[in-house]
Amino acid sequence: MVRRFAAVPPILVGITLVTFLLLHVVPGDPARMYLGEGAQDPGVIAALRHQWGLDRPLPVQYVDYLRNALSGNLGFSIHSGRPVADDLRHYLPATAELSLLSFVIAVVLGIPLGVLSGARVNTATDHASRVGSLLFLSMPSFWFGLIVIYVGYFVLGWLPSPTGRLGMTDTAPPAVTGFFLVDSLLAGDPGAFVRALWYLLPPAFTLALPSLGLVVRMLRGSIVEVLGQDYIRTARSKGAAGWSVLYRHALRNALIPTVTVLGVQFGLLFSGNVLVEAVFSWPGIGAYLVQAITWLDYSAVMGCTLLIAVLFVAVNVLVDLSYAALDPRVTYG
Amino acid sequence: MADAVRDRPRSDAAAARPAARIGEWWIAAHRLRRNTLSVAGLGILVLWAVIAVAAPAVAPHDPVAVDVTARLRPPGAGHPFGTDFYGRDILSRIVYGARYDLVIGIVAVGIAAGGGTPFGVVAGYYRGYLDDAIMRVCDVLLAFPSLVLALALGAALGPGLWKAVVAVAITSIAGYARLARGSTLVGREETYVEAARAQGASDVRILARYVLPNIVSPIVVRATIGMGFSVLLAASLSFVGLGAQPPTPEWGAMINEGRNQLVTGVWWISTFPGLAIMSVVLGFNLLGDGIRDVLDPRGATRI
Repeated sequence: MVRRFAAVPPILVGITLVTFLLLHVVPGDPARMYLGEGAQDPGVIAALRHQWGLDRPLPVQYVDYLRNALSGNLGFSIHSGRPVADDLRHYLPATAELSLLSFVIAVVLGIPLGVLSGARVNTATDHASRVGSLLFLSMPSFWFGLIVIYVGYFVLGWLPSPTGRLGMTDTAPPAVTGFFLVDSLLAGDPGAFVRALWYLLPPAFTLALPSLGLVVRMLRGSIVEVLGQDYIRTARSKGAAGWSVLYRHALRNALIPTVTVLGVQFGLLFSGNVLVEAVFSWPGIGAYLVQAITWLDYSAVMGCTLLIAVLFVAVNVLVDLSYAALDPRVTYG
Repeated sequence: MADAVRDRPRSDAAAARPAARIGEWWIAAHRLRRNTLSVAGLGILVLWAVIAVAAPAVAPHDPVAVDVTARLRPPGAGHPFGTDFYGRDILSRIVYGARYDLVIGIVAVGIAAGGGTPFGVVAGYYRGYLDDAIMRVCDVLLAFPSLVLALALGAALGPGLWKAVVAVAITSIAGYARLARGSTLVGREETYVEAARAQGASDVRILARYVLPNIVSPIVVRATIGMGFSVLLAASLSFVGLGAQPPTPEWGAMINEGRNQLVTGVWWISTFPGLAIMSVVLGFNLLGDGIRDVLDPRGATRI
């Protein structure tokens, strides 16, 4: 357990080193870019570089960067005109809400489908769920999001407009947690809750599909393997009913590898978000990152990268801990 | 081929029994052939490869020729997949796009596997500080979700198809290094490695002849599935404008080009390239599954 935690700080330092170095290999001098094409007075550029500390040795600049990052200062965003850290704080709840819901969708649909597929190997159900899950893993999610919007909204008119968390004329519930689903209930407004959920579902579903495919594939494989074990035969020979063998004996053991995969998937949802958010105009970290990329807003790009990587590491540590709770054989020395 | 690769460390003995080797070969090929889905995957990829090579013969039009009189034509006679905003034929662009997307997948994985494997082998064989140093770098690279690292690298390198390929390759390099290291750790303890060392074989000879052949199969499995993933990742970079630049008929960039036309009911510009990406990635995934089943020792009992 201790060793698991001890590995984290060097990784976090490594992450900041990567984002720092990437900030410094970007094409173009930030001072020159800030001043624009017209101002090419070398004196002014040098002064600005000095003012920003760009003329000091890289290691010194890195220590500064690290100190700033630790105190929550990630630089200034050119395209929003605000500190990057403020932007991230502002956009994080929308991303977290979307990630959580899509994770729930992947789990709630994926586990029964995987069990069904594994318990009925080589039936039509199995084949359909295998092919389906492979297709989900093979398509670009940003493309599927566009198809969902086109067919669901433009052609059929069944789905909400791709305008983000709510329609143009809707007002957001009073902010408490930043999660519209929670805030609307806290405000005692079930209508707002339904509306928020309605806007959440298309992007959440789009985001859930690759994870869903992975869960089905993993769980199917584990179930098939576990059902071939001796203790399953023992349970059957003692007269346990089919469903009881499946759920009480097989599923618990088969779930262990799937939980690991789910953990990694949960961390990845924050990055899978990026393009899906951009497609659905979802006002989260992902859409912010894509905007920052098109604006060549490097501080914002690296700020997002840093935040997402740190979240990813944190989630992975949590998953390892929960893994130990689920399987008593796992210990961390 | 798969089993032949796995058995190479024992090749001195195996050479004495060619019949047995041919037998295993046959079983491996047979097992892969019995796997209908994998054969389908291979078929998809072969079809795309043929299309890519024969693009000038297959494509009905020039993929970059602008024709303002034929803008935004829906799929129909003359343009089976329709035309885009500049009157370019979508089918022809997809046909030529195969040249980019297939090569992107292969080159990105080639760089990643070719770059990562030696580091992993050296780390696993020599252990010590070198191992620690290489693995710490891998830990950091693996701490980033691959899409985000690829986007950050792509943003830092600037737009461009080959820059995007490099960005995609860097994101997966650590995975290969770690995989190669794990297999090397097992391989270096084998009796035949000890025997070779006792006979005075140099490190280079031991690595090349006894260790490397054993780690080929896991790398091949990972690389096959990795090619599909690299195609997706590179398409994602193109979709946000970092990868292929117009008028390059790269599929991810084409989806991006059609994105703003969807509002006006023009669905064909984005839809068809997406299907093309999906079929290629599906092909790699199906084939990778099949190769894993054949190479995985546990799979041997399932025949």
